Amino acid sequence: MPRINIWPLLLLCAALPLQGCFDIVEQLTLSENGSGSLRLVLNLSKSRSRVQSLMKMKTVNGRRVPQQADISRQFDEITNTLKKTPGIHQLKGRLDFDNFIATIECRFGSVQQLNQAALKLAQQHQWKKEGLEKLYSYQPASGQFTRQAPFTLEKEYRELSNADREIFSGALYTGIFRFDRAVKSMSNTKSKKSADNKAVMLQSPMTDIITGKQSIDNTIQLSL
Amino acid sequence: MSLHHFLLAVCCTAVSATTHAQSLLSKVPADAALVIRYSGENFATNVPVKKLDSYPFIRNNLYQLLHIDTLVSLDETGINLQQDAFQYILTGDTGTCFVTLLMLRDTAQFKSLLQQQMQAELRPVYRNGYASATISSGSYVAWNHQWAVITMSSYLLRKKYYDYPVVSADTAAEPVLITVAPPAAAEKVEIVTEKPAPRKTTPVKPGAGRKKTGVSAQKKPAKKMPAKKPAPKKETIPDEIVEDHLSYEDSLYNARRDAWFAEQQRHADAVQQKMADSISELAFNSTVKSIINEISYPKLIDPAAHVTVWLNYDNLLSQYAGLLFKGMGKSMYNGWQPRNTGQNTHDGFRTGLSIFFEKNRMRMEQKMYSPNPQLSQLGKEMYSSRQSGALAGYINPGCVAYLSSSLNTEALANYWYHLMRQYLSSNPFTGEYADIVDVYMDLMEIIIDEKSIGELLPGNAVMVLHSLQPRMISYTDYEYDDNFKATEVIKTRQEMAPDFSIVLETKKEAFMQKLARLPLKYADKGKFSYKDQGGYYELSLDSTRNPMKALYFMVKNGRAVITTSLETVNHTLNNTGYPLDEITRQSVFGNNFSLRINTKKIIEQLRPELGDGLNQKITRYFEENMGDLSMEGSYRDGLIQGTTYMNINGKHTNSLEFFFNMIEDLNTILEKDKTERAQKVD
Repeated sequence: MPRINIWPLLLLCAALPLQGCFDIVEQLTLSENGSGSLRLVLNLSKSRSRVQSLMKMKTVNGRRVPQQADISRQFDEITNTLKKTPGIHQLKGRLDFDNFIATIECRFGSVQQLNQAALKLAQQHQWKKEGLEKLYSYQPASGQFTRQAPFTLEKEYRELSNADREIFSGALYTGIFRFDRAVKSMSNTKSKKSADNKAVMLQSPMTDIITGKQSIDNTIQLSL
Repeated sequence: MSLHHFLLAVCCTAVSATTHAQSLLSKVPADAALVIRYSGENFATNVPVKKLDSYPFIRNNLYQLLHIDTLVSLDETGINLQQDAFQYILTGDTGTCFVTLLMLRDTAQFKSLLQQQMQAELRPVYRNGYASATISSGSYVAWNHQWAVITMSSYLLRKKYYDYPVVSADTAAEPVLITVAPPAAAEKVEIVTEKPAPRKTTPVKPGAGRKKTGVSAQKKPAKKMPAKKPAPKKETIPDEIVEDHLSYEDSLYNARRDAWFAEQQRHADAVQQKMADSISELAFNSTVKSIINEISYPKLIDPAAHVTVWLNYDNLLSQYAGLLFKGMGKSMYNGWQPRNTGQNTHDGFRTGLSIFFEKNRMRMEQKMYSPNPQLSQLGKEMYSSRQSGALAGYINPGCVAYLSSSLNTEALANYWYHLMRQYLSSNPFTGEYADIVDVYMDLMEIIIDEKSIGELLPGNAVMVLHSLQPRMISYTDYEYDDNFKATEVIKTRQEMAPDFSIVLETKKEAFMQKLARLPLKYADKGKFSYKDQGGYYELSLDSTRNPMKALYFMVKNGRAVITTSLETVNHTLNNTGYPLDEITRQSVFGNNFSLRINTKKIIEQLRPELGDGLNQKITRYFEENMGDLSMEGSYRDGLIQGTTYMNINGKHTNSLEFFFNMIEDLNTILEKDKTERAQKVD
């Protein structure tokens, strides 16, 4: 049955608290032998007062709002899975509910182990799995490092209501890849090289990444 | 034809039209719980049918809903939209009916409209001067050449299959193991369409279908055996060969369940049809005791209004409560009966709402009345107080919104006793012990000192949203140096924070003081900052983390104050107040409640929070088209009365057209935004 769109009023109200700013920061440091460290940060502190208000509600835009206990439980599940992944060690997970910042840090023996960890998480939480085995790759011999976005969420994004889409407006992705060798070149033209030539950074609005307007795929050639 | 004849014909037509409209109201029964009337003027002059046809959302959505061709006009539905239409709800112990009464212009067109709503061919049954047909399960229509009755009836006493689940073996399959002779009950298998009789044994939940069926089948005959006779060892059922059947895997169980549901549906359809038929018969061929004869209807409803709503709380509440208790009685086997509403006086409050779509505003007149003189008097007493000047002084000129209320809480408490007495005496269980209930309520009246409640909070209160102030809030961000090394930095951003005051009048100042002082002792333990600032208390909030810097609490001169504003604190300390403009003064002091929302100001102050894009476009639309909202009410002419005004701006012929325009314009904004987003994605 067709729906008469008399709900824009309600939609506006529902969208207000959600129009948020959040940052996702991915920092990967890679040694020549393929081992390294990863730091992932989800920073919602810019929207702190809104998130605080949201968490007092049961549902927003028809979706259940997870409470502090739910988030902690889910976060613990993720960190436990990562801890159990072979090759992942020194894992530290931190949930700061004062500032609404979630941080996961770990060391790894090879980037393949990170891919395995991502696959394991996807299996456990029934997320999309395609391409996760190629999330990161590194050939020490050729000195080539690749970061690939495993899939696009464009279809899912298009299916979201306007109110839900507003969540992503203002959200920013920052990817920093640091090496102990100089960077010769990188395939993603939007990425920048650091002054010391040993790091590459890519910043992009989340909406551009989700909709495929901006790719985060990058092949970085290191000097041998 | 002479001019006289012509004028006579015109007058007759007009009178006839009026008579029709009148006659439809006369078809609305007096025991309806809710009656809505839509004036024909809405589509005759306010938003003419031609204008209505021109809205794309009407064509795209409403026409689709009605399954009519987008090329035709609403005029071609056969319904006379320029005559009054009525809707009412009848509630009973077995069902609810939502009835619509419409005047017709063209029966053939109306029949064609009905046909379009149906999957099968429309097959009207002609009887006693009208035709009737079933549109779908629960939807029925009846019409003659002048008007139509559409009834949506709903049978509310559908039984629940899983109330008494019976878990049995898969009787369609060969039993795996039979040790003792199978019970007689298991031999005689029938498809039962009636509900199985409740057993006295504890009901087994459907989830218990995993029970060992062989064992279950043997339990009954086993009871008939001598109790102490030990079962021979060879008859013991070995666990490994007992088949585990789920009831939903059982083919016969499924067939029985489907048949039971089908029978239930047939029964429900028959009851619903019967309800609809009786309504049609009553409407076409009987004299209905009309709502117009209900004492409150003419008192509460203004016939000149464009839309009116009449609501009888007593009917609605008591009948739904009856239904609720009937359900409980069934499920608990405790013999509870529905509320005996027959013994109710049915003289509770009725409410009437008359809506006028005026040129620059929508006006809603709300009236409440009870035919019971005692209740009416209580209503009068509740509204017998007036707002105090000291409290009104907290309303600052140019505030974003305020609500002033002045109710006699002592009278309100007395009304509560009346309600409780009425409820408990008609309640099936407590109703049998009316004398005890009476004593109990007397005791409550003795224990609860409504006079003290009235002194603690006499009922005068003011809530003011002074403004929405921008506040700087801190957040964590990252800055990167030339080598992309991240440094955590604390930045600030602007957020809007409400600046408000809530002021309550009290005559028990000592108690309120005690209450305000209470957190002082526990502040250290509770790790919050609550300080006595000499005359008022300050609860400090981390201003870098919260939009509000502090909350102030104080009790002085018979006022309990909670506020974010130091100005309000100073006013209370110095016993001063803001001067009121004439309109606010009249509204606050001339009424028991007064509310005003400055829509433009709210939108203006919230604008920085709304981001870019779609929200800004929608906000701009509201800013340009919506005016202030105000509401006031008092006890006048023996009725509790209230008036709400919603002002409108922009280029709209009247406020009804504004609503249609608004839906259309917002749809256009949303569609445009959708297209722009899609283009961006592409």
